[in-house]
Amino acid sequence: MNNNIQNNIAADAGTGTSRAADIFKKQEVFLAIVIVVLGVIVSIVNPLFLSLQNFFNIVLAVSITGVATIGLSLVFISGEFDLTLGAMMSLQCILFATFATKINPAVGIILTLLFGLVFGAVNGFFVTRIRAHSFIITLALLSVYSGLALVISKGNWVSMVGTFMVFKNKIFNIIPNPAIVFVIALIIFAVVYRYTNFGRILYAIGGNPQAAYLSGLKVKNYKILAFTIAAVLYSVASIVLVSMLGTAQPTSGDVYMLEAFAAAVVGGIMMGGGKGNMLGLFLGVIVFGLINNALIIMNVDPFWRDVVVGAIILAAVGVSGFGASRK
Amino acid sequence: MEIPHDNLVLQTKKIIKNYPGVRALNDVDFDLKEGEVHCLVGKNGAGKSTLIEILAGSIKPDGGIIEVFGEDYNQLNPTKSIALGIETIHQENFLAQDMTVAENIFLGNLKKNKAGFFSMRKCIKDAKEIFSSLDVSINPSVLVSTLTPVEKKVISIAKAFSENLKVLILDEPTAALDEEVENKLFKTVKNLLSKGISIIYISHNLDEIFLLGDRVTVLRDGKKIATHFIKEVDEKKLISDMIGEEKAEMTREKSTAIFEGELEVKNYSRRGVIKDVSFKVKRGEIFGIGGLVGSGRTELVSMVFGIDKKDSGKLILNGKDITPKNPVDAINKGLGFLAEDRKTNSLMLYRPIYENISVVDLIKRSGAFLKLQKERKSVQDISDKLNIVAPSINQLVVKLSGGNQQKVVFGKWLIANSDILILDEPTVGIDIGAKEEIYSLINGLAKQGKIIIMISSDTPELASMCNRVGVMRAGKMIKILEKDEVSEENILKYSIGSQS
Repeated sequence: MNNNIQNNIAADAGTGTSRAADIFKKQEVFLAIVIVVLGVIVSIVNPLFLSLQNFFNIVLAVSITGVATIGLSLVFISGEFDLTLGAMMSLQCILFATFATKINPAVGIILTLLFGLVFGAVNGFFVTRIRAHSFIITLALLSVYSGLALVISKGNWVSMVGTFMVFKNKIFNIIPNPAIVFVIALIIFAVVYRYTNFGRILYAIGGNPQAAYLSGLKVKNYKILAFTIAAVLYSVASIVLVSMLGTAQPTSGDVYMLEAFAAAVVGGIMMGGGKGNMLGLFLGVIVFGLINNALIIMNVDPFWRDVVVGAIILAAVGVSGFGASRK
Repeated sequence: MEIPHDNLVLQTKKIIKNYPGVRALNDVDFDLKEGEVHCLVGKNGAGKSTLIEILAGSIKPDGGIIEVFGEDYNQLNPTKSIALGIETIHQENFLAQDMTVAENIFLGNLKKNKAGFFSMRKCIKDAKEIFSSLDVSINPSVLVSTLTPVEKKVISIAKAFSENLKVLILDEPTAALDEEVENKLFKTVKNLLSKGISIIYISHNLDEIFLLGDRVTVLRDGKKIATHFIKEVDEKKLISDMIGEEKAEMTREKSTAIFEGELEVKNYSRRGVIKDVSFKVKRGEIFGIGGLVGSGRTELVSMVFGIDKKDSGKLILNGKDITPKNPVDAINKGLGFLAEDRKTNSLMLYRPIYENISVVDLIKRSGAFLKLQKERKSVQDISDKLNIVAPSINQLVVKLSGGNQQKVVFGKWLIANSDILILDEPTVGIDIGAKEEIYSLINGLAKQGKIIIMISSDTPELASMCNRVGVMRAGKMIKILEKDEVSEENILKYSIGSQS
């Protein structure tokens, strides 16, 4: 209480709260430091780390997670929760592989994106109509999408090797195509969040839904839109994934849910809404890619990976407190 | 007033409680005799709640002594208070709605049968015993959710009743005085008195106090003003004690500019909440809505702005029906609503000032992209005009003081250029300097020909700002005070005084 008042007085005097301390509380700055420190340590151990080739390896490794995390950021920033990410990606992988082999890849892409649109709208519809936390509602829908993936694939792998391998290729023999998809998506959504009415509205409804509603914004409609665009981005991530792997399993996407959640939280996309940007998200995703890559390059037993990842999440959230709830 | 010391149940001596920047209680002496009803009255913020919280042990005083049955304490805690026989019935009911009355009575001490299992039959039987000793006629086997508010209050009292109970504190137990209150609640209270239990009764309703009380203590601004025997005092004296002698009738210049046209709020009703409220506001006029918290003021304006459902009601501007269907519709029709509790209803605390101010403007924009430079310029102009103190308009709202936060909320409706402004508690929790700035802002808007409806619990503020004031009580607008009638006494009189 007292502290608060002092802060207010400081702000009133025009000085703001201590600037230097604030800088280190910015997740972007914190993540940049983590990346640099990690980079220095790894390149001392193994100089190969600093090669351009390895840089693109890192970006490639996080492209799919990256695109999915951008989708998730829309839902987070609007103040909701989406557990369907992994299950929906699994379903979309199966759908895309099935369409691509049975009809052709172009139709497959269009249909998979359309299905993403429909699933996302369904998510948004239920979240805004049922009076329950989106955690519960998307948990239920997660099960539905998981089940559908099994039903459609009858539990089998769908192979499409040789059908659509665009995302196995590299431009100029060095830049992997999936990385280009990730970077384009990043730029588009950096612009959406910063320069469009829609982006501003998402921050507003996530920042305080009641205030947004009383300011005349149609909160529910925009939440549905956020879920819809998120699911379309999951579709994009799924298409790229299947094209890279050449096969789709009914569980291909499951692993991406926790990765995307972790990257979003570490990247400063606030659960609860109203805060987060694409630079933070990019750095958050890269931190995870970097850790994976460093462990490989330093010849660490890969089984240690998850332990390290968990420690990094705790450290990131603990040090800067940016995963903290706001009350 | 000399009271024989031997039948005093409890007594406070020179109790002090400080909060940052305000002394909530200042040397308050208070005493309670065995078997009496001692009423506590005072305006909002006079210190009534703080005093009873200290007796209940949930707040620690900064000075003074609490004497209970001859023993002195510097402070109490909730366990200690209950052990001493002091129980509080709060304004809200803490009852499990979907359990039976009997289960609620024994919640925490559920009755068991010989085998050690919960026994509903025993609960009901024991509840009946308590009810018959208190002369309560409620069936213990019905669900609490089926009871009326007054019956729920009686159940709360029965729940607090035990062999150990010595002092019962009732914090504003009723919304309005009616037959049910007299027949059920007062009867229960009188039965408690006959068992030697003493009662501290907080009420905003003077009728109740005259019906039930033995003595009454008036608090004002944290100080005890007087303790009277009910038989020796009248309503006029109590109200003047509550307001104070030095009538701070601020000589603020009221808006006098009257323009053509008026807004008519017509027949607003919702069952159980608002009963047929109508009034008119002229352009350039500030219309105040007074009354107690819970009298239906906020509910009324929420209906007018299209937020809450209504059974009936039309909003008519210059003869044209502009009744809003929802907030979007209201904003498009020129209404602005500065909601009470800015942190919950109005501000995105973790977003910058400029986003908070420009948010109402978003629905009016066409095209996909923001016009950032134009937006920043118009927000900067408004921020300068409102004198918002911050390093820049990029500052997060959470870092601003209450007064500056409230200016940001005003900024929203200035950007929207609202024609009709509804202000719900526009100056709550802000410092005096910022208050004055907001007063002159509101006056300025009225002089420009806006229509302004202003709700406030701060009676001096209403009396000094408004051209006319409608006083609400139990969902009805019971009186509209015209120009010369607008005064603190009148607002208070119609809010709490005798209705006859």
